[in-house]
Amino acid sequence: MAIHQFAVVHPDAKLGENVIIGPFVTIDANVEIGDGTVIDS
Amino acid sequence: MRIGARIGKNCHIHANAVVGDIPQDLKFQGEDTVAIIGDNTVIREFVTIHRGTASKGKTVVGNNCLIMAYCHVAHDCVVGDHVIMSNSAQLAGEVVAGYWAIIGGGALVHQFTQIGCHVMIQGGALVNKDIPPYCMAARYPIAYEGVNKVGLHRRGYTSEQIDAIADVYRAIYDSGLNVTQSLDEAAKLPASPERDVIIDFVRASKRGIVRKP
Repeated sequence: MAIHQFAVVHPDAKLGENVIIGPFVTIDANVEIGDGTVIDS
Repeated sequence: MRIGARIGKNCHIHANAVVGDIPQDLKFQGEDTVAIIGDNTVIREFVTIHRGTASKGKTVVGNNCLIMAYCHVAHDCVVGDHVIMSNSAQLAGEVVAGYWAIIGGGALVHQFTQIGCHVMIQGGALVNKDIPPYCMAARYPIAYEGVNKVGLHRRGYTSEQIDAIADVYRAIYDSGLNVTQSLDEAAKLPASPERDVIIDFVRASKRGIVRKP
Protein backbone atom coordinates (compact mmCIF):
# COMPACT_ATOMS: atom_id res chain seq x y z
CA MET A 1 0.00 0.00 0.00
CA ALA A 2 1.41 3.37 -0.97
CA ILE A 3 -0.34 6.61 -0.18
CA HIS A 4 1.21 9.83 -1.44
CA GLN A 5 1.80 12.46 1.22
CA PHE A 6 -0.42 14.94 -0.65
CA ALA A 7 -3.40 12.58 -0.74
CA VAL A 8 -6.23 13.08 1.76
CA VAL A 9 -7.53 9.72 2.91
CA HIS A 10 -10.25 9.50 5.56
CA PRO A 11 -9.24 7.15 8.38
CA ASP A 12 -12.52 5.24 8.06
CA ALA A 13 -11.96 4.44 4.38
CA LYS A 14 -11.24 0.78 3.69
CA LEU A 15 -8.30 0.28 1.36
CA GLY A 16 -7.32 -3.17 0.14
CA GLU A 17 -3.83 -4.56 -0.28
CA ASN A 18 -1.32 -3.04 -2.66
CA VAL A 19 -3.51 -0.03 -3.31
CA ILE A 20 -1.55 2.92 -4.73
CA ILE A 21 -2.87 6.40 -4.09
CA GLY A 22 -1.22 9.30 -5.92
CA PRO A 23 -1.04 12.97 -4.98
CA PHE A 24 -4.15 15.13 -4.54
CA VAL A 25 -6.47 12.15 -4.32
CA THR A 26 -9.38 12.59 -1.92
CA ILE A 27 -10.86 9.50 -0.33
CA ASP A 28 -13.87 10.18 1.91
CA ALA A 29 -15.28 8.11 4.73
CA ASN A 30 -17.50 5.21 3.76
CA VAL A 31 -15.33 4.34 0.74
CA GLU A 32 -13.99 0.90 -0.12
CA ILE A 33 -11.11 0.32 -2.55
CA GLY A 34 -10.27 -3.21 -3.70
CA ASP A 35 -6.84 -4.85 -3.75
CA GLY A 36 -4.36 -3.67 -6.35
CA THR A 37 -6.31 -0.62 -7.44
CA VAL A 38 -4.36 2.46 -8.50
CA ILE A 39 -5.73 5.97 -8.20
CA ASP A 40 -3.46 8.38 -10.02
CA SER A 41 -4.41 11.84 -8.84
CA MET B 1 -13.49 9.10 -4.19
CA ARG B 2 -16.59 10.47 -2.46
CA ILE B 3 -18.72 8.96 0.30
CA GLY B 4 -20.42 5.84 -1.03
CA ALA B 5 -17.74 4.81 -3.53
CA ARG B 6 -17.07 1.06 -3.69
CA ILE B 7 -14.22 0.30 -6.03
CA GLY B 8 -13.16 -3.19 -6.98
CA LYS B 9 -9.79 -4.86 -7.41
CA ASN B 10 -7.07 -3.95 -9.87
CA CYS B 11 -8.88 -0.91 -11.14
CA HIS B 12 -6.99 2.06 -12.50
CA ILE B 13 -8.56 5.40 -11.87
CA HIS B 14 -6.89 8.25 -13.68
CA ALA B 15 -6.43 11.86 -12.68
CA ASN B 16 -9.38 13.97 -11.62
CA ALA B 17 -12.00 11.29 -11.98
CA VAL B 18 -14.79 11.54 -9.42
CA VAL B 19 -16.56 8.43 -8.19
CA GLY B 20 -19.47 8.50 -5.77
CA ASP B 21 -20.34 12.16 -5.76
CA ILE B 22 -23.97 13.05 -5.18
CA PRO B 23 -26.55 12.72 -7.93
CA GLN B 24 -27.66 15.70 -9.96
CA ASP B 25 -31.22 14.46 -9.64
CA LEU B 26 -33.41 17.15 -8.08
CA LYS B 27 -35.25 14.35 -6.25
CA PHE B 28 -32.12 13.42 -4.31
CA GLN B 29 -32.61 14.06 -0.61
CA GLY B 30 -29.25 13.11 0.81
CA GLU B 31 -30.09 9.41 1.16
CA ASP B 32 -27.25 6.93 1.73
CA THR B 33 -26.42 5.39 -1.59
CA VAL B 34 -23.38 3.93 -3.30
CA ALA B 35 -21.46 3.97 -6.56
CA ILE B 36 -19.99 0.55 -7.30
CA ILE B 37 -17.14 -0.17 -9.71
CA GLY B 38 -16.21 -3.77 -10.48
CA ASP B 39 -12.80 -5.37 -10.85
CA ASN B 40 -10.20 -4.63 -13.56
CA THR B 41 -12.07 -1.55 -14.70
CA VAL B 42 -10.29 1.51 -16.06
CA ILE B 43 -11.69 4.92 -15.35
CA ARG B 44 -9.95 7.63 -17.32
CA GLU B 45 -9.40 11.29 -16.59
CA PHE B 46 -12.27 13.54 -15.51
CA VAL B 47 -14.86 10.79 -15.59
CA THR B 48 -17.78 11.40 -13.26
CA ILE B 49 -19.73 8.50 -11.78
CA HIS B 50 -22.46 9.65 -9.44
CA ARG B 51 -23.96 7.54 -6.69
CA GLY B 52 -27.54 6.33 -6.69
CA THR B 53 -30.79 7.87 -5.54
CA ALA B 54 -33.66 6.30 -3.61
CA SER B 55 -34.73 4.79 -6.95
CA LYS B 56 -32.12 2.00 -6.99
CA GLY B 57 -29.79 3.04 -4.20
CA LYS B 58 -26.77 2.42 -6.36
CA THR B 59 -24.95 3.21 -9.56
CA VAL B 60 -23.07 0.22 -10.91
CA VAL B 61 -20.19 -0.07 -13.35
CA GLY B 62 -19.18 -3.66 -13.98
CA ASN B 63 -15.94 -5.60 -14.32
CA ASN B 64 -13.42 -5.14 -17.13
CA CYS B 65 -14.97 -1.88 -18.31
CA LEU B 66 -13.15 0.95 -20.03
CA ILE B 67 -14.73 4.30 -19.29
CA MET B 68 -12.72 6.79 -21.31
CA ALA B 69 -11.95 10.40 -20.42
CA TYR B 70 -14.76 12.83 -19.65
CA CYS B 71 -17.53 10.27 -19.64
CA HIS B 72 -20.44 10.63 -17.27
CA VAL B 73 -22.35 7.83 -15.61
CA ALA B 74 -25.36 9.32 -13.83
CA HIS B 75 -27.25 8.17 -10.74
CA ASP B 76 -28.76 4.68 -10.79
CA CYS B 77 -27.14 3.66 -14.09
CA VAL B 78 -26.13 0.03 -14.52
CA VAL B 79 -23.18 -0.48 -16.85
CA GLY B 80 -22.50 -4.14 -17.58
CA ASP B 81 -19.20 -6.03 -17.70
CA HIS B 82 -16.78 -5.36 -20.58
CA VAL B 83 -18.54 -2.16 -21.62
CA ILE B 84 -16.48 0.49 -23.40
CA MET B 85 -17.59 4.09 -23.26
CA SER B 86 -15.54 6.23 -25.61
CA ASN B 87 -14.48 9.77 -24.70
CA SER B 88 -17.20 12.06 -23.43
CA ALA B 89 -20.02 9.57 -23.71
CA GLN B 90 -22.79 10.66 -21.35
CA LEU B 91 -25.33 8.39 -19.70
CA ALA B 92 -28.27 10.17 -18.08
CA GLY B 93 -29.97 8.79 -14.99
CA GLU B 94 -31.09 5.15 -14.76
CA VAL B 95 -29.59 4.10 -18.10
CA VAL B 96 -28.79 0.41 -18.40
CA ALA B 97 -25.97 -0.65 -20.73
CA GLY B 98 -25.66 -4.38 -21.38
CA TYR B 99 -22.41 -6.34 -21.23
CA TRP B 100 -19.91 -5.82 -24.06
CA ALA B 101 -21.73 -2.76 -25.38
CA ILE B 102 -19.59 -0.09 -27.00
CA ILE B 103 -20.84 3.47 -26.75
CA GLY B 104 -19.26 5.85 -29.25
CA GLY B 105 -17.49 9.03 -28.28
CA GLY B 106 -19.69 11.96 -27.43
CA ALA B 107 -22.87 9.91 -27.47
CA LEU B 108 -25.69 11.28 -25.31
CA VAL B 109 -27.98 8.66 -23.82
CA HIS B 110 -31.38 9.79 -22.59
CA GLN B 111 -32.49 8.85 -19.10
CA PHE B 112 -34.04 5.42 -18.58
CA THR B 113 -32.81 4.21 -21.97
CA GLN B 114 -31.91 0.52 -22.17
CA ILE B 115 -28.90 -0.50 -24.22
CA GLY B 116 -28.69 -4.18 -25.03
CA CYS B 117 -25.64 -6.43 -24.80
CA HIS B 118 -23.03 -6.40 -27.60
CA VAL B 119 -24.43 -3.21 -29.05
CA MET B 120 -22.34 -0.72 -31.07
CA ILE B 121 -23.49 2.88 -30.83
CA GLN B 122 -22.24 5.52 -33.24
CA GLY B 123 -20.10 8.33 -31.92
CA GLY B 124 -22.05 11.47 -31.26
CA ALA B 125 -25.37 9.64 -31.33
CA LEU B 126 -28.42 10.98 -29.56
CA VAL B 127 -29.87 7.83 -28.01
CA ASN B 128 -33.45 8.20 -26.83
CA LYS B 129 -34.87 4.81 -27.81
CA ASP B 130 -33.88 1.43 -26.48
CA ILE B 131 -31.19 -0.32 -28.49
CA PRO B 132 -31.91 -4.06 -28.65
CA PRO B 133 -29.12 -6.62 -28.10
CA TYR B 134 -26.44 -7.38 -30.71
CA CYS B 135 -27.37 -4.37 -32.88
CA MET B 136 -25.67 -1.33 -34.26
CA ALA B 137 -27.32 2.06 -33.85
CA ALA B 138 -26.57 5.25 -35.73
CA ARG B 139 -28.00 8.33 -37.46
CA TYR B 140 -30.25 11.11 -36.35
CA PRO B 141 -32.88 10.20 -35.32
CA ILE B 142 -31.20 7.13 -33.86
CA ALA B 143 -31.93 4.09 -36.02
CA TYR B 144 -31.30 0.37 -36.25
CA GLU B 145 -28.29 -0.23 -38.47
CA GLY B 146 -28.11 -4.00 -38.56
CA VAL B 147 -26.55 -6.69 -36.44
CA ASN B 148 -23.15 -5.97 -34.89
CA LYS B 149 -21.58 -8.83 -36.83
CA VAL B 150 -18.01 -7.59 -36.44
CA GLY B 151 -18.27 -7.30 -32.69
CA LEU B 152 -19.94 -10.67 -32.31
CA HIS B 153 -17.42 -12.36 -34.59
CA ARG B 154 -14.52 -10.86 -32.64
CA ARG B 155 -15.98 -12.19 -29.42
CA GLY B 156 -16.25 -15.74 -30.66
CA TYR B 157 -19.83 -15.99 -31.89
CA THR B 158 -20.14 -18.49 -34.74
CA SER B 159 -21.56 -17.67 -38.15
CA GLU B 160 -24.55 -19.81 -37.26
CA GLN B 161 -25.24 -17.84 -34.10
CA ILE B 162 -24.85 -14.54 -35.94
CA ASP B 163 -27.18 -15.70 -38.72
CA ALA B 164 -29.71 -16.78 -36.11
CA ILE B 165 -29.58 -13.32 -34.54
CA ALA B 166 -30.04 -11.76 -37.98
CA ASP B 167 -33.07 -13.99 -38.52
CA VAL B 168 -34.65 -12.70 -35.33
CA TYR B 169 -34.14 -9.13 -36.43
CA ARG B 170 -35.50 -9.89 -39.86
CA ALA B 171 -38.67 -11.09 -38.11
CA ILE B 172 -38.80 -7.96 -36.00
CA TYR B 173 -37.96 -5.35 -38.62
CA ASP B 174 -38.76 -6.84 -42.03
CA SER B 175 -41.97 -8.72 -41.45
CA GLY B 176 -44.23 -5.71 -41.81
CA LEU B 177 -45.83 -6.53 -38.48
CA ASN B 178 -45.97 -4.27 -35.46
CA VAL B 179 -43.38 -4.95 -32.81
CA THR B 180 -45.62 -7.06 -30.57
CA GLN B 181 -46.78 -9.27 -33.42
CA SER B 182 -43.27 -9.58 -34.79
CA LEU B 183 -42.11 -10.98 -31.45
CA ASP B 184 -44.60 -13.81 -31.87
CA GLU B 185 -43.05 -14.47 -35.28
CA ALA B 186 -39.58 -14.37 -33.77
CA ALA B 187 -40.63 -16.84 -31.11
CA LYS B 188 -41.31 -19.35 -33.87
CA LEU B 189 -37.67 -19.32 -34.94
CA PRO B 190 -35.37 -22.09 -33.66
CA ALA B 191 -34.68 -21.73 -29.97
CA SER B 192 -31.41 -20.15 -28.94
CA PRO B 193 -30.22 -18.12 -25.96
CA GLU B 194 -29.70 -15.11 -28.23
CA ARG B 195 -33.22 -15.30 -29.63
CA ASP B 196 -34.65 -15.24 -26.11
CA VAL B 197 -32.36 -12.42 -25.02
CA ILE B 198 -33.67 -10.34 -27.93
CA ILE B 199 -37.32 -11.21 -27.42
CA ASP B 200 -37.20 -10.57 -23.69
CA PHE B 201 -35.48 -7.24 -24.21
CA VAL B 202 -37.90 -6.00 -26.84
CA ARG B 203 -40.91 -7.16 -24.87
CA ALA B 204 -39.68 -5.35 -21.75
CA SER B 205 -38.81 -2.15 -23.57
CA LYS B 206 -40.61 0.86 -22.12
CA ARG B 207 -39.23 3.56 -24.36
CA GLY B 208 -39.67 1.45 -27.48
CA ILE B 209 -36.83 0.08 -29.60
CA VAL B 210 -35.12 1.91 -32.43
CA ARG B 211 -36.74 1.65 -35.81
CA LYS B 212 -35.11 1.03 -39.15
CA PRO B 213 -34.04 4.30 -40.80
